[in-house]
Amino acid sequence: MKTKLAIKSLYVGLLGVIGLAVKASGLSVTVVDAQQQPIADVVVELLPEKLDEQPAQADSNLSQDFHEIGQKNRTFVPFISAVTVGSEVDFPNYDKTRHHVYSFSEAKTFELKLYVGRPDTTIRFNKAGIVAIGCNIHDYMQAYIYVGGSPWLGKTTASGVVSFEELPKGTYQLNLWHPWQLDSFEQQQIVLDSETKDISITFHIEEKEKPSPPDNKWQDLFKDIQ
Amino acid sequence: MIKSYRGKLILLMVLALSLVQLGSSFATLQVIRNLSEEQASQSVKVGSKILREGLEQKEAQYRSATQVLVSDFGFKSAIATEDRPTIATALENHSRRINADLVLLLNNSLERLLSAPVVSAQEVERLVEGSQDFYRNGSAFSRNLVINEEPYMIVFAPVKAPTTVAWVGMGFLLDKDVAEETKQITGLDVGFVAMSGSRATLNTTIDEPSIEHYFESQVSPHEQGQQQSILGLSRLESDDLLFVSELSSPTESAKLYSFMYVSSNSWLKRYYELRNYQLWVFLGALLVAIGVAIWLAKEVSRPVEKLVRFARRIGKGESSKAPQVKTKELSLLSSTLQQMNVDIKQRQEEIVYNNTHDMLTGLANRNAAEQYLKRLLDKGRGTLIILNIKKFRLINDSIGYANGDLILKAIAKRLTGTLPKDVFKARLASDEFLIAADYDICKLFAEQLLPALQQGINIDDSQVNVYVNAGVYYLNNRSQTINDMLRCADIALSKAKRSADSFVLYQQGQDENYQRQLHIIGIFEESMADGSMYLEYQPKVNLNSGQCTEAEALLRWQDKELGFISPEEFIQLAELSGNIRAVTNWVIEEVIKQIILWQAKGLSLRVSVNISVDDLLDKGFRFIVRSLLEKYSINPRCLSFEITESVIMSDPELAVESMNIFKDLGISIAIDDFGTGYSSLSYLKKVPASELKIDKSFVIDFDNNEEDRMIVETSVELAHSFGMKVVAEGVETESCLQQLKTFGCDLGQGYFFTRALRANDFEAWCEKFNSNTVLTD
Repeated sequence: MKTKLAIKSLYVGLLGVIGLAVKASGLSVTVVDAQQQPIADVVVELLPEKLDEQPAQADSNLSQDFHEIGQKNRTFVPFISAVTVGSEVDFPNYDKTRHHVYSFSEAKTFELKLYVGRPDTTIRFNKAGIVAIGCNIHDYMQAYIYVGGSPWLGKTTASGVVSFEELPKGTYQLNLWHPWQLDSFEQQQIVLDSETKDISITFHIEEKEKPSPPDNKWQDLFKDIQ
Repeated sequence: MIKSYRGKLILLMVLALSLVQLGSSFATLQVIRNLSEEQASQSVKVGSKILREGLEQKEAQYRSATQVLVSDFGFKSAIATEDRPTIATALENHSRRINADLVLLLNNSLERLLSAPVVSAQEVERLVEGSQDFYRNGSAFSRNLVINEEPYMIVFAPVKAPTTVAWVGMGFLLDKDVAEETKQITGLDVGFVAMSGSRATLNTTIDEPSIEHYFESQVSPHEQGQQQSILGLSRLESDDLLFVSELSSPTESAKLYSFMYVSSNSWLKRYYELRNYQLWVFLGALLVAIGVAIWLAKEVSRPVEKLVRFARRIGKGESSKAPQVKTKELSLLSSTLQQMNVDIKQRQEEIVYNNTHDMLTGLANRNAAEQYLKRLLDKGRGTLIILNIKKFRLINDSIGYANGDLILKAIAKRLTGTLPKDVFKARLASDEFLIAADYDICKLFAEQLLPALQQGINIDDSQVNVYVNAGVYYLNNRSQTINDMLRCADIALSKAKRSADSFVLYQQGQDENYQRQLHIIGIFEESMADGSMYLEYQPKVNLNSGQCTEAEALLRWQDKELGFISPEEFIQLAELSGNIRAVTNWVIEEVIKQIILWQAKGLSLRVSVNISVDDLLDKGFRFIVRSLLEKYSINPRCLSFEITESVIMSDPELAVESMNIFKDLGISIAIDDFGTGYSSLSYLKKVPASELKIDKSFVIDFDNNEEDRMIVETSVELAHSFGMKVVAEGVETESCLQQLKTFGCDLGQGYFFTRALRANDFEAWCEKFNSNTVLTD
């Protein structure tokens, strides 16, 4: 309920902006590495600098996503989330084991102490920034939430693409983020007119496995318990 | 150097043994030493590995302990919320729990947030510099680092919330206790060394300055070139072994080392033990060797000592048997000694024989004679006869020495052939023989030996007749010594020589006369010097002019003790003793001096001097005369030599030769005592004399003896016919003088004018005589 409510209010806010839009344009960003291989889960944010028109409507796909970071098999899913300021995120526990989800990040400090199933509350992220989320029980569990101030926020798919539609014409700053990025990304200025733009950006991240639970030595021992 | 055989043998044994023993000991000890060293090296290497493993275990413990801290949610929360008081207490609490010596908290940018004890920011910068990769990796790691100049093992662990928000470093001092733990296991001394700048901090189980010095010398700037060599095995000055490992990472500027140490004493312990053992073995063997050497030496020296004793007995002339010796070489020596003994005895006999026998004749020699005479002396009775061959020298000269020896041998043979065995026969000197017995052998000598000796001796197919003189002496109780006995016999012999008898018995008193003669002979020289011997001059008067123109110098001797000694006596003694030349020299020199003195006073006289047979025949005399003439440079015509007829006849040729030389010098020669000898007219013809002196025996009795007057008259005529002047001696009466004048005699001398006078008196007399012509027609 609370989540729906929050999403609705976001929609209302966005609609207000979008309503002013006369004509919209589209942007497709492909993030690749040095070998031109697509990189997934890269957060892409378009920060409006000078808009020529009002946003027509807030129908960003991302904004409408259901924000949930669940714990399945002692792994936060998804690993990376991008939410706009004010979003609420639910942390349902699908495992049998309890989790103790916490964040000491500046953007949001919270703690959901040992629980099973769905926690009593969702967590609202009111401040832009990056929130590192961990589990006190399972040190290897990690997740990141990118709290962005812009409504045009997304993350690349497995093919390294994120698309924005119905964008008001104007000038934007393009920002990219990934927890494993090797250098801080230098924001790029992008000017959008009525035409849909496809851009490709080369990004450097460290190649790593996503956090996953280690082989549990005790698994057999505690089979019955699990 | 060592001279004895034993000493040499011992030395040889000891040397040989020492060489072998020392050689083998050296080799063994060297091997042991190398083995020990290898073992020790191995042990420090292994020890070093054990240390490293121990440190790894420790590191694992510390790491997990540190990880427990950083995993603590409360701690994470405190870090994330920068709750400093909580952080500090949590760290303090935890570090105490795990016994950490140092705590360091770094933020995500590796900057120091907190440290205890205080670590400076620069130090922290240095610490993280070498570990960037580990930090980036984001998991706990450990480093061995020098912090605040001390060696530390430090574990860094990330504080994850869930991303890394901070690093916690827990430092553990690598101190003596840590080193001690490894020492407990390895038994080796262990240490940690922190090198910062030129300082080396050592935390070690052993306080050994040389180690510290070793490390400090390695970091001192001027020896940086050697820094490579610090790792691994090194040998310190005193042979201590040190194995150094680097605990810090190679890129680290402040180095952290560990070392394992074995002192030379401990690793050389077995080597020393073995060496001592070898030394005892060596000493033992040395004693045995010396014992063997002594025993061997004795084996040799015992028979040698036997031989030495044997040789000593030979030396003493004792008879003994040669010792039995087993050793071949020494047995040879023994038999040689035996042979030597025999040879020595034989030669000894020869020597004894030679010592007591005359080589030429085989008769007893003088030594043996003395021995025999000694026995006679003890008995107090016996007869000594000394025989002498008449004119043996002349015989030798005429038939040669070899034949002379044959004569001596023949005589010896006759002595032994004629006389019984109990008569002792000896040859005393060249032609002098002695026969003696303890009974009267005079009869035996006279009746048997003498006739046998008188028989001719056959030499080279010609008969040589030999005559002997003999002096006989009967032993009596007055004979005190052997010399006395021989002298008495000799005196008798001398007498026999001068007499016509073949043999003369010694008579009492002869010996006393002999002693007087010896005394006279002894004082010749001093008498010439002290004036007891002096000259008198007898004038020779020219019978025609009645002037004294010549004088005869006569030698006189007035001794303080013996009184007047007649010239006949002492001239004969001077001739016998060989003093005659000195006497003649003295006389001639005195005469020359006198002539010079007189010449200075205007008295010009010819002075004549009597020359003996020895002088005339002595060739050296001529030179003396010549040198005297030259020395005083007088006219030789002032000098005249009177030579008796008998002198000329003893060796006419040599006498004539000498007289010719004197004549050539300018000295006139007079024949003295004419008429007493047996001079032949043919010799008289050859003699270069200018004067003939008629013996006074013909003149003294002139008045009464018609024969004498005839002899003198004839002699004067004879002399004149040979061109010689005639001097008559013994003019004692006026009538005699007148008679001589009528005979035509040229000069006269005698008591009628004056007896012989001392120089001064003569001078006075002469002056007076020549001024008053006493002669009357």
